[in-house]
Amino acid sequence: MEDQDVKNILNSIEKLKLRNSRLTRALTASVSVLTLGIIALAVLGVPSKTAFTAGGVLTVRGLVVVDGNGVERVRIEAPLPDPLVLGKRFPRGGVVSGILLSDEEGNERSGYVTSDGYPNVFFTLDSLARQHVLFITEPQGDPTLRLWDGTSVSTLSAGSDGPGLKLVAGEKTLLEIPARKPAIK
Amino acid sequence: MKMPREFFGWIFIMSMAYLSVPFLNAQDGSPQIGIWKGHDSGISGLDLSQDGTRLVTCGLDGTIRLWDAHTGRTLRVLRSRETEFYAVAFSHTAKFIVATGDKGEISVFDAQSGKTVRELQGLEGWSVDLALSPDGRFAAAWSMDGHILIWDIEANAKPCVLAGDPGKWGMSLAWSPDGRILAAGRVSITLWDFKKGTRSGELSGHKDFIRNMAFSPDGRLLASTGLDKTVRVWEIPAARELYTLRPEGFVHPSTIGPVTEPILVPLLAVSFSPDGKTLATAGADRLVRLWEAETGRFIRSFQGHAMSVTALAFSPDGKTLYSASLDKTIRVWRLAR
Repeated sequence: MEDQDVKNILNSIEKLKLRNSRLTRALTASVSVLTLGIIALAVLGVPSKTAFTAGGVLTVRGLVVVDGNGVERVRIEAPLPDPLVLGKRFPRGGVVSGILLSDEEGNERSGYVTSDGYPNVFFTLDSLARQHVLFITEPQGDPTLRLWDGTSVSTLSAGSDGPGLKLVAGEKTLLEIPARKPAIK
Repeated sequence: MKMPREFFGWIFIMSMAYLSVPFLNAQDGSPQIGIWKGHDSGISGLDLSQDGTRLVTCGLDGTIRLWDAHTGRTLRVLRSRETEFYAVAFSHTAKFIVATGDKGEISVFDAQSGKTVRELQGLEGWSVDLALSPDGRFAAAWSMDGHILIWDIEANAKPCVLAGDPGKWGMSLAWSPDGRILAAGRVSITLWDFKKGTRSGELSGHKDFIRNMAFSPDGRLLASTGLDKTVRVWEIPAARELYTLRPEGFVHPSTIGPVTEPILVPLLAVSFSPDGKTLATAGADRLVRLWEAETGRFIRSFQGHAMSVTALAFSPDGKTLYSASLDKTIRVWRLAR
């Protein structure tokens, strides 16, 4: 073997050593970053767009329960979506947050909600297409229970100026105690 | 071991009897000749091409499905930005499929390629119904500001506006067969002279929102179904109510089979047969009912859907009726004996 050949071999060995050193450094850096990432995730928890837990409390913007047919039956959300009525969605006419119950066809049938803007809290029971029971308390009090079907309306209320009861059939007031109009905002 | 010939005969007879069960109506023996499945959620709209060869449906699963109207084979599934679709229609020659959903645009699809041709803009909120002019050129939809918008579906132009009552939007629209009248249903029905852009009549009687309307093929009658649980049939030239139907009965399952509860529920769909003699209605009662269009006399009912029936369409020869439901199925009923 000549001197030139030995020099070439030694050069190649030096180059390989250099490359090996660079790869080792890159691998060490990658493993370090990965390890730090895993440690950070373990300490801080897995970030999520939809939910996170702290102290065993699940924090979400919404939760939907569906039945065996995939139909939405219970929804807890802030704010809640517009109501689905017999296959079509209609505007709610206000922003509310809370709990909705739907029937097997997905029709909204009941809600237990608070409203944004004017802080009422209310509970509703609906037929397939219309609301029929409203139980509401306004921010200052004045709880009212109202039941209606077509032109038949029953209203029971309590307020700072006393209790009230009113039964209406069409245009006719059948009973009003005392003779005043219970207010519903 | 040799089986007697009668054994195979009985096997054949029993097999045929078993296979025929799905095609027979439990209530009145009327034939149900098909149950088509494909949608993942309730079906809200349905239309049949004028030649009767293709059916289009749309649903709360955000899809539009094109079917072979004779075999029930799915030909194409269309998707858009919508997450829910509420109404769908073929244009006159079935060149386009037009649909409305919850995103506030009217989508126009090429029926052949399935590609979105254009999105018609301008609605306030969204429209739960649409109507195409008989020549297939114009699409009308309710805007939630109370106006009715009309687009030329083949042009990228702003819509024409029929100025309604501010904020008072409706749920249904129907175009007369001659294209002259656009009926806009809220709680009452406003008849619009389409060419003049003016109101030509008002039909009052329903006590709640009208959910669906249909003109008879000769344009003389208009039928409307409402959340007030009635079907009303109107004579258009006289602008008067001809009769009101209050179909009682709500079908629900029980341990002994389907039970019909004698209650009134909202009605969602109405359609005239091509000869104008028969009126079909359906709704939350889960029944499809046929009536004599001229008199309102009950003819028969079809039972089979497990949830509200949302849309109806007769075949051009009048021998078949298609119904779509929130139970995710399309059922095909044979009318001719």
